[in-house]
Amino acid sequence: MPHVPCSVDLGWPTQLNAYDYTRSLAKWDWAWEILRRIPAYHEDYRNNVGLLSQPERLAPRISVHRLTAPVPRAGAWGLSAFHRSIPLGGLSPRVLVARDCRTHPPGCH
Amino acid sequence: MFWSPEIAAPTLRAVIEPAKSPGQANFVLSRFAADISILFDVTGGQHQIVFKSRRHSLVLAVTGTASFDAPARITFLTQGSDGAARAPRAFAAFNACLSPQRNTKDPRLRATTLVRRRNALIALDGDAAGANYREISTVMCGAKDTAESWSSLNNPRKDQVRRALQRGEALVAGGYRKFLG
Repeated sequence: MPHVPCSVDLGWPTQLNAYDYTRSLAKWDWAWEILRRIPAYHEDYRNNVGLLSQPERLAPRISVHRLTAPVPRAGAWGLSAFHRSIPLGGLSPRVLVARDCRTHPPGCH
Repeated sequence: MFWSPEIAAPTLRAVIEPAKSPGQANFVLSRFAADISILFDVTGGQHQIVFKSRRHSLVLAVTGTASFDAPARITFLTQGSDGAARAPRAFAAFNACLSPQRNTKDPRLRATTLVRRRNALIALDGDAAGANYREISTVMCGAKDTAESWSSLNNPRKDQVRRALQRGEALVAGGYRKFLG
C-alpha cells in the first residue's frame, strides 16, 4: 500500500528541530496532534466543518462559535464539533496544522 | 478544539442564568486569564465553554440562557460520588484558568514521557511519508547517533524507531483519547 502524507505539514525528511514545539504541548494538544494525523478524521472534518459558524469575537481572548446543524460524526472522534485550528505561521497550505508552536529542543532518550 | 465534555477532563457542568442584580453576578468571562472558546449547540440552549491557558485546560458544559457580555450567575453541578471525586481537579483547573498566578501544580510532562510522545509523532510522520527506519532515526536522534547505532551489532535506535511507530499507531487507533482524561 503506498504511503500518502496526510497532515504532515513540513516536508520529510524534515529539519531536526521541527518537532521541538511538542515540548510545550498540554495534554489536550497531544490528542489533537494525533487526531490531525488520521486520514479518516480529515474526511469527516471536510464534510462537517461547514456546520460551524464563523467565530464571533466577544473580546480579544473570547470567541463564540455556533453549530448550524447536529454533527453526529464528531462524537466518533471525541469532539463536539469540527473546528479549524489556527494555521502555523500562516505559511501552510494545509488546514489541519498545529497551533501555538514553540521551539525548545528536547533530548533523545 | 471542542473536545466532547463526555470524554474530556477536567470538565465541570453548570447552569448559567442572568444575574438579577450586579451583586448577584458571580461569573464574568472577561475575568479569566485563559483563552476562551464558546460553542453553542443547534438550539442555543446548551453550550460548552473551553478555557485554555498555557498550562491548564477545562471544559465547562453549560445549560442556561445568560448572555456572556452581561452579568451572569453560575451554579455548578456535581452528580454522585464519581462527580465529587473528580470535582477537586476540575475546580483546581477552573481556578488556575481564572488566575494563573495562583500556586497550582504544574501538569507538564516528565522528560521521558515527552520524548516518547514526540518520537511517536516523528515515527508516524516519517512512516506516512515513506521514510525508512534510518531516516526516521535521524530526525528522532540526530545523524551522528543514528550512524553509530547503525554501525553497531544490536542497533538500538532501530528498535527505538520500531517501538515509537508501534506507540504512534496505537495512539492513532484511538489511544489519543487517553490524553483527554
